[in-house]
Amino acid sequence: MNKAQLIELVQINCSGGRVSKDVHGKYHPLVLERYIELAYSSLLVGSYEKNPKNIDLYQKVYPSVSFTFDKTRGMHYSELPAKLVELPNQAAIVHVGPQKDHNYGFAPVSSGSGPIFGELEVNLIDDVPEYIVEGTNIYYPNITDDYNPVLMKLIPVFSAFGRLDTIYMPKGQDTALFGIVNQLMQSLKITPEDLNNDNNSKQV
Amino acid sequence: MSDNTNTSAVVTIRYVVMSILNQLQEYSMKDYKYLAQLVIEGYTDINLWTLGTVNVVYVSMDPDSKILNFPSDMVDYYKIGYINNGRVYNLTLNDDLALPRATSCGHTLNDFNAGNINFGYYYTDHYYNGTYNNKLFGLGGGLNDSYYRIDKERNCILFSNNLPSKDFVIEYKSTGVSLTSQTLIPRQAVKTLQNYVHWQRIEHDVRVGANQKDRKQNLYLQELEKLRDFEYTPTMQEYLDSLYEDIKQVPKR
Repeated sequence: MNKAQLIELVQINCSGGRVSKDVHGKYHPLVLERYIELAYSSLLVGSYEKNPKNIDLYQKVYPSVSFTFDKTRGMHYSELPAKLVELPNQAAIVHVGPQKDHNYGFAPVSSGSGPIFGELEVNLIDDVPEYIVEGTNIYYPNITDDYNPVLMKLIPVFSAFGRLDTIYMPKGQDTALFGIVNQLMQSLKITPEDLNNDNNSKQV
Repeated sequence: MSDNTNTSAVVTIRYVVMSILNQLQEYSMKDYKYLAQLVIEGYTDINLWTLGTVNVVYVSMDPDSKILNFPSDMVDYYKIGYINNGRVYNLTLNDDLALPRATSCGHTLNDFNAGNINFGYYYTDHYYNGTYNNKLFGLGGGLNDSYYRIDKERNCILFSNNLPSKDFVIEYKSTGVSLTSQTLIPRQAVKTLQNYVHWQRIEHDVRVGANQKDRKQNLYLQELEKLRDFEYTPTMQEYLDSLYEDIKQVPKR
């Protein structure tokens, strides 16, 4: 199912059936998208914690992310092309590497590891390009311009997918998404519970 | 060169790291540098204590100071000799040579007399200056005509001053990890290194129980023992050579 279809399905689900004109405005797709994003991220984190190896389906490839030189810090950097699902251990960054060489990847290092690796042999004998994630940027301490632009495989949040991108849900969690979205909308009174048994779908 | 289709007998540090990541089914580069450093430390350790690797270096001494700096990767030496007319003469350790501390490095040392020269040692086969040198003969210890002393404080060697040459050959035990070229790890050491890394990964983790740590350490020690067997066991031909060396034909009585 693609993203647009999923949003529409959630919209139908929230309205309890066919979407009539007045309900359509009430559950605006952009608002629904934000709620689906919360639910989607929550389901992905749960799935990752159960089985960290099963994340390939949720990634999106950004084949051409260029980097520039930050004169202040003396390092190259690029901006992350999308907001990421907050998976543990920065697992949402699946791969950063050259555009065309599938067999070669850059090595992520933690932000504070520079002074430690700087004193160890590994920095002297291994020239694999490193990257450090700092907020919404990725810094490359030892990259050369030959690698520009780089390829990134990321697990982005729901809103970063295009309308026609296929959205995969964790196994067996398809229907859970609707429940979570409903629950979130209920708690924020986006979909107030109808307490009156008056055969009227409107909440007024 | 024969057309060999088998896998290589030597591998790289990167290969060992990737094989460890594969064993862990960790298909990302997240721990790459951490593991690479562990492999380097493990290989240095195995190289120093188990593998019989020997490095040879040709160096020139400063004729004024009579001091020769060690190669930076030298952990210990096997043989020190000088080259004269294409032959290598072993030198003898003499801890009575005065170390030049009171003055500059140009301190003059005492002369030593030459002794008889009758015996020699083999040097490891090696390439030097584009030439393959096999079995250079050094001359036996205790009978040499020049002497040296190791100055560990300054990481150098001090020579007596009656040397006919300033060119030396040092056979030594290296750290085994090259900074300038690809470090090649013998295939037989790969499993030992893998187990070393698996053990070290948990050894300093307080959340891991002592039984797990012991188990991983034992697995490493088992592989280390296998490697020792591999390295130290002579081949059948070497054994026969050794056996036949002492066999003599004598007249029957």
